[in-house]
Amino acid sequence: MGDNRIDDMLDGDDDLAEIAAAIHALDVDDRELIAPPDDVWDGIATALADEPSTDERTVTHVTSTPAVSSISERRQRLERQTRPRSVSRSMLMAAAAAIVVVAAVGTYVVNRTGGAGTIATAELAYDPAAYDALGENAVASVRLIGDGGAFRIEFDEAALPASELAEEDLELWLLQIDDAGELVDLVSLGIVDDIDGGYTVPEGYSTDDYSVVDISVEPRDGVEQHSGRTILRGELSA
Amino acid sequence: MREVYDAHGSLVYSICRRSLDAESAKDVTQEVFLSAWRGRDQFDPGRGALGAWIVGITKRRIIDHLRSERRHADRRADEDAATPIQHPTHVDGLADRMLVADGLRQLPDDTRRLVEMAFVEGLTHHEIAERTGIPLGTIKSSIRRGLLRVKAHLESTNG
Repeated sequence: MGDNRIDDMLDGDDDLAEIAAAIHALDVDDRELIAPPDDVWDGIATALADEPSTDERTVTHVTSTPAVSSISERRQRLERQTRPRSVSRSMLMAAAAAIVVVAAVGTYVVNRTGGAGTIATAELAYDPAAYDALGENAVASVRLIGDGGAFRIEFDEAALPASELAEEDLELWLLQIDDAGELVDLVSLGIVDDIDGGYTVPEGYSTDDYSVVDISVEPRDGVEQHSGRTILRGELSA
Repeated sequence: MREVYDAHGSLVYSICRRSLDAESAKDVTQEVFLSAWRGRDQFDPGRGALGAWIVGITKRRIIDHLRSERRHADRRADEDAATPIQHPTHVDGLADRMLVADGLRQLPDDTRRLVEMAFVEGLTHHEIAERTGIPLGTIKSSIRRGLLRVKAHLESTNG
């Protein structure tokens, strides 16, 4: 089958012609798969058990849930407000305290005079089986406040990790999860850097659908997608 | 990691098995998934397909193994050294072809059949239309879509 033929079929699209030619070049062996013997996985599992971090679900988040990244790409095309990103690098400890990797947790209690404008609240909790170890001693309670058509999330109480790793932030998200427990979509409310502040829910996103509050650890790598490293999560309820 | 292994283990092992002897194929397959685990932070789903990333790791691990085998073979010149089955320069092509085949496998059945008719069997659009009764325009667009999906499957701009 000549290149001319492929070109004709694809109107001269070079990229696709390359793929077509590659498909044409496949032989029978290329198209067959040989399953590895069972002990191959056993060896991997054993070696993984010896690795420093055995939180397998972290990998699942990042690599086996492509939905998160492709959803994020979709999200970026949705109309949304500019995420409030803080320039300041200060973390959450109100008072200067020794910062220890992972174990350091700052407790911050905000005195709220109660329900004015409160629509819903959520208790965010850590799941040792599924979340990033940084959240181990973390906890937070938030409330959703409606303010003349605009909505924001505010913290009531939060014990959140300060990370010694200079290149990470905590980010606040609202997730849309369907009845089957599958992640459908997500939206960022910004970097959590001021426990006193309100985190605006971007216009067009209803907390009826996006009802799960999520806090994640995000590396400062310019990648906007959810890192998969959740530390706390909880559902809003009235 | 189990899910990643279930999804890509056979592809990795097949590439290894066609490049190396049986025992080495098992070892290198294990090394590939361990490498993938250790380097998982470097994988960015937004910049390419997981399968393509893992095949990239597979190529490097196989070539490393072949080179090390060659060094040992040189040292064992007097003994019965096992000849590497594949030369390192062939591994790249082999792995790429198997990744293309993997991309083909991921296509929906009807799209895959059309792509195969066009580029494996070498039929023209008209011949495909005659055989399947599918309108010409639909055939063309399905084939394009199929190729685009295979292309996406091959994409890896990860480190």
